[in-house]
Amino acid sequence: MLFKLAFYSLINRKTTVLLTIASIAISLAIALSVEHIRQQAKNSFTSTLSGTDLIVGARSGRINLLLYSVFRMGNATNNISWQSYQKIAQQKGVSWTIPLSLGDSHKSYRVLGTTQDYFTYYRYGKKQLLRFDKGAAFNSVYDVVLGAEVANKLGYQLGQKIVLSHGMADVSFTQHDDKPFTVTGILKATGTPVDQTLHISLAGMEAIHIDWQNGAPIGGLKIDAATALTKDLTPQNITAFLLGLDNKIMTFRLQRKINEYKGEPLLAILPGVALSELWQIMGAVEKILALIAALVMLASLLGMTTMMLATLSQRQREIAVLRATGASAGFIFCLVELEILLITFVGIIMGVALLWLLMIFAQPLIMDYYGILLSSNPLSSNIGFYVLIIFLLTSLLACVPSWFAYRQSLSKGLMNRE
Amino acid sequence: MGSTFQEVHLKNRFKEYFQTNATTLKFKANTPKQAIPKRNLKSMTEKTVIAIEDLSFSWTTKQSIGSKKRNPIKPILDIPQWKIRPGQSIFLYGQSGSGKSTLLNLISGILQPQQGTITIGEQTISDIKPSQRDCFRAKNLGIIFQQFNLIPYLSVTDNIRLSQNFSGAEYNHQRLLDLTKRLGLSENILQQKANHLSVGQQQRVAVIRALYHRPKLIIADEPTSALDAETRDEFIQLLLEQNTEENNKEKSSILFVSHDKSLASHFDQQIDINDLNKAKG
Repeated sequence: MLFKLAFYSLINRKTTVLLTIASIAISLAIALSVEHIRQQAKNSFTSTLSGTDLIVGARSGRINLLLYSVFRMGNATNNISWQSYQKIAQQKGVSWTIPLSLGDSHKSYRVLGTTQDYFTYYRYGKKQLLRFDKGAAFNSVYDVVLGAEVANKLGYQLGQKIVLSHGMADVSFTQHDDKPFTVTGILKATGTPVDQTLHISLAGMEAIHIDWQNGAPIGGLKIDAATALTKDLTPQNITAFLLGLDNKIMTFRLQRKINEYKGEPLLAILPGVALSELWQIMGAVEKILALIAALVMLASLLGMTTMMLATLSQRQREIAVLRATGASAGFIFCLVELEILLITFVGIIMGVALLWLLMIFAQPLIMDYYGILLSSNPLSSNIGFYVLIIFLLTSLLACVPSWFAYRQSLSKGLMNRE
Repeated sequence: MGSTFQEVHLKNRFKEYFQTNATTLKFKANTPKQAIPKRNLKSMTEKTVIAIEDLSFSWTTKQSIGSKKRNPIKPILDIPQWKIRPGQSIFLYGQSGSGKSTLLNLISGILQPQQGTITIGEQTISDIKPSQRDCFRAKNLGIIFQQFNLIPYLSVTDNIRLSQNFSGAEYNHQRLLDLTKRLGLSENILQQKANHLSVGQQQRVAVIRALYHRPKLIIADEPTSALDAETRDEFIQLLLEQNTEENNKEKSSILFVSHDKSLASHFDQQIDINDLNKAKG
């Protein structure tokens, strides 16, 4: 009876009710998508790197080291000598290391010089290893492995020859065009900066710079690709390296040891700590977004409450008829409350559906522009919790018009002629 | 809107003040007030459908915001004694503001008197809890308003079944069909939404609803004011006839309230509310 009355009463006022539902659905979709993107971005961000115990670079800022070693942003102020790297890598308890050598680029994508260990030990997300979409790791000096986005955006195929540029300029004046690289592998998309990186061997990195000094070609000296292979291609320096331990308990001890390393000024950071520190810098924006979304939601809920309150005076006779036929004041309270909850319920369902659609459309765009892999299923995160909170908040807000209706049905009699 | 409503109310009370004062003066002069014993033996044994004793009602104002204590303004109703025997049809006359709406609200148990008792049948309605009062109303009263009688978005059947639903009584489809036939309505309007009906049809459906559960008392509050002169007498005839057609045992009493004295002749008994109400300032 109660449900039937509430249902038909809402159908009877379908224009206002539909508009209210639309306003709730839209604001909910906005609020939840902000929340969803925020969470996904945070997840994607903090899971850029996993399984690595320490990141080691030349002494500079912690955030700076993190930015250039993991996110390929900015530049290193200094390098680590190959000797120091070797010394630390051979410490007891060190399970693996991945040297990183940065500085060159290809069409504004960074080139990373590393070893094959990169494909064996580098982990991201939930300790996932990199996987090849096509081909395999680099084997010879002039091989290159492309990140998913690089291959995709530039349309490169296996076996294609590409030329790397020196430095980071979009259109570099200095090309390493005497030593072209062959694509031997393309990685699967990870949603991390790996997708935007070209990977070559340290030897390859050394080879293209063999006739260079201090960042410029040595005048008159030209060593072609074939002769370069005959030279010693052991690097002098690397930019940074990632390090994994046999036992995590060692982490802090080794970190202190590296930070106090006498040979040269080094800095070791814990990637998890640095990542959350970096995320906190963006935290203010994130909080403002969440606040705006919450306020939009609140405004639409208040709008609905106002709508219900406004219709009460129109419904005075209707309530009188119900009271006359035996409805209690409590019944009137429940009727108004139920009507609001029904509106909210439908609004929430529409809102989540809208969010879902929105995510399906936004997912490829966000992946393209920001390299953040969103899960298109918004229901998987703790959105159920937010929906529950909204529902509870609504039932509280609904008490206002319901209480008015209740008071009205008690104090105003059935026979009241104005 | 609120302010104008209050103004009207104040004006009405003002008018009432002088009217009731006049009647009390008359009353005092002619018949010295005698002490009416509270619920004497006779009133307990005598069969009544409404029995009012010592009733007094006044609107109240809050002493201050948030305070639970309420101050009575001046009394609107003061009815020492009034009884209606079962099966009678009563015409209650009174101009607007004379307190008849308040009296109806008290009889139907929506408002509570500050003093005195109202007994419907054997049940003194101020003795029971509000929720029981609502249930009692669903079982024992049939109420017809002047115009807005039906929930517009419910079907005619659902409208008629409202009190049956609230009282938890069993549904009797045959009775509904019988009443529909007797009131000259076709069966196929039963599934229609109430707001698709004409005013005349709506009032007939209201009569069906009032009769359907065989209440002790039917309260009709100016049910004819929305009808034109021709259909007005027809409607009252219909209401009274249909009530008489019920088995004598189950025949309801009718309390018909109007400010239109020309309708009075249809009823067994005519009462001016000013004769009942002794309220003074």
